[in-house]
Amino acid sequence: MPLRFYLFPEKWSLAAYSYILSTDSFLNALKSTVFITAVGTVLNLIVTFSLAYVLTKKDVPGRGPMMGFVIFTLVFSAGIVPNYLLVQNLGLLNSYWSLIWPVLTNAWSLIIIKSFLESLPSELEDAARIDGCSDIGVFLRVVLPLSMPAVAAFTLFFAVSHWNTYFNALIYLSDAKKVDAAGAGQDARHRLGQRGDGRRGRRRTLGPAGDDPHGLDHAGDGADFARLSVSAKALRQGRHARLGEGMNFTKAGG
Amino acid sequence: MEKALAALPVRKEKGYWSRLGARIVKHRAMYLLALPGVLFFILFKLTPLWGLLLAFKDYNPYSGFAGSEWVGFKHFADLFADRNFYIMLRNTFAINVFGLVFMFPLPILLALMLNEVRHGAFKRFNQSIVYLPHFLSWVVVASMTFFVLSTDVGIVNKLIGESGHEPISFLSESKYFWGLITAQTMWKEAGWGTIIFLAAMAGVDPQRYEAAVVDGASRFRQIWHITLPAIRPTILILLILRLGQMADVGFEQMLLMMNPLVMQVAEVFDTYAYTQGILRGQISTGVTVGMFKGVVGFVLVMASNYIVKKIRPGRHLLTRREEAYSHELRFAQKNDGVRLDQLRAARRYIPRLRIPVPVRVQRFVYGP
Repeated sequence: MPLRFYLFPEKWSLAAYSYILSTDSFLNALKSTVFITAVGTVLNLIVTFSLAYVLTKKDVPGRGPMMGFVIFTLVFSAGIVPNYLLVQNLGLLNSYWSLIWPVLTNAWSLIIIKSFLESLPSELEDAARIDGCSDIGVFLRVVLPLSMPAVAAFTLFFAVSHWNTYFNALIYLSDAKKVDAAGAGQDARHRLGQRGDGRRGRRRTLGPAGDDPHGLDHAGDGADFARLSVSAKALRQGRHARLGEGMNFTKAGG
Repeated sequence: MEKALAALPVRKEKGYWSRLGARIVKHRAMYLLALPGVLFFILFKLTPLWGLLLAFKDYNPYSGFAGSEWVGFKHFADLFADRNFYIMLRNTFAINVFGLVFMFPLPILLALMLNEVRHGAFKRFNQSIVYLPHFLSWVVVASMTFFVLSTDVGIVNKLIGESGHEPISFLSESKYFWGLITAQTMWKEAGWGTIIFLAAMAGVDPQRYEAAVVDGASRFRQIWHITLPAIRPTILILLILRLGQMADVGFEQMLLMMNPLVMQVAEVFDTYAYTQGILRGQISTGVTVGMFKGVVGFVLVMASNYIVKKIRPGRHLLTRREEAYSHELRFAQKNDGVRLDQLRAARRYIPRLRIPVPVRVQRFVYGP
């Protein structure tokens, strides 16, 4: 039979939806993602705008070093492993907060918002001060209402970055219930389509919480990513027991 | 008179420290505002830098950070002796060269095309469509790639199979990998990249086009002689800044696209740091690889930033994203590089630099 293409599906089916809803994993992922996105975005906005506002005040002692360090983080970061160790030592592994605190604000957003705030006419602030407004009052009642376009844009940027978070969830979360939608999507892809292409269960394959509480066993079957099985085996044997405490594989569902 | 003056209370000139103290007290509310952000930077950006010391230690989880033994540059020596290191170096370089050759011109081309669309609503619609993929996560992009290109469910291979050819395993053959990665980046980021060029094009004085039309210039002539020269400074600066990112490879993308069959062409520093440091527990190795990449990236960024400052004062590192977003916020700097007074100001500034920029370079940047 020749291959035919249809602009509209010949037969409508909701089978895929009933499949993803057949276990809790999708709903759990959705809940996690919504929580992280909502809370994370609000915290992002508060922290970023307040710090950016202070960075516009040239008279504040210490502004220079603050700005300098912000720019430094733009061009140099410690890398994946030190950040992982930090999150581990803070006891944030397997917590939603591990996806929120480490990305509370970032240099790019600060700099862009700072330059936006600098474009606001300072006379408005002066007028408010003459009328007896406190510094924080000026920020809350004058500066913030004037920067609504920036707030709107950055709400979008922050929300999208939380919604799309993948790597942080991959390394910091192991409890299957807490995996976010991006991780679950990746998982679904492995489960649905990758058979036969030799690339199933690559890095970490968390089964839906219901049918496979041990993401590890699930990842172990089939043609597998060699490194994953090596490290997983080592972890299972408890050779890296201490390190493994926080690791994805050992704790999933347990 | 003398007496009267002496009797007046003399206002004592305050010292530096007491003035500083007064300023700090005056701005105490500001410190309250800055506190959460400052704490964040100290805890999550400054503290991990101490972790870099692990590159010079043999990290042992049982003896902890302080108890691990110092080994000097052993891990770096091991890294440079490792065959994988050169593979990673090659892959990073190759993927970036692919990006430079195929990805870099694309936003310019796209922006030129969008700029020629005269119907406002249609133009905005198209702009939104090309921005859209930027907001998709790499997980989604990787999944879509899979559904298009895989050998069993991929639509492309179904077509190839239909026409009687052998299926091509795009995803698991080394020779396609760099192209695949570049194509994905092109699809995802090209539209987003147009923003800054469109902002620059928006600053071109319409009178120039009118004059060109009077002189009988066709649309292509107008693009060639007006639009392109107008955005040349922007292109050049972005190119230099892009060269500063030669050590960076989209990490999530690589992680999602790599598989055992393409490891030889897919392994880059970040993925290696991740597999060694976190998956395998070779903490010190992971830190070393990450640090090497970080330092090289730092040097490249600083160098490219230095060059940009040299040839175009006032424009640097911070400009690109800032401009892109401020355009989004509809606060675009209207005339990016083409307003005459700006040009004159910039030209005036150049000879004052300690190392003068060759006239030839100036001509290239600003036009004759």
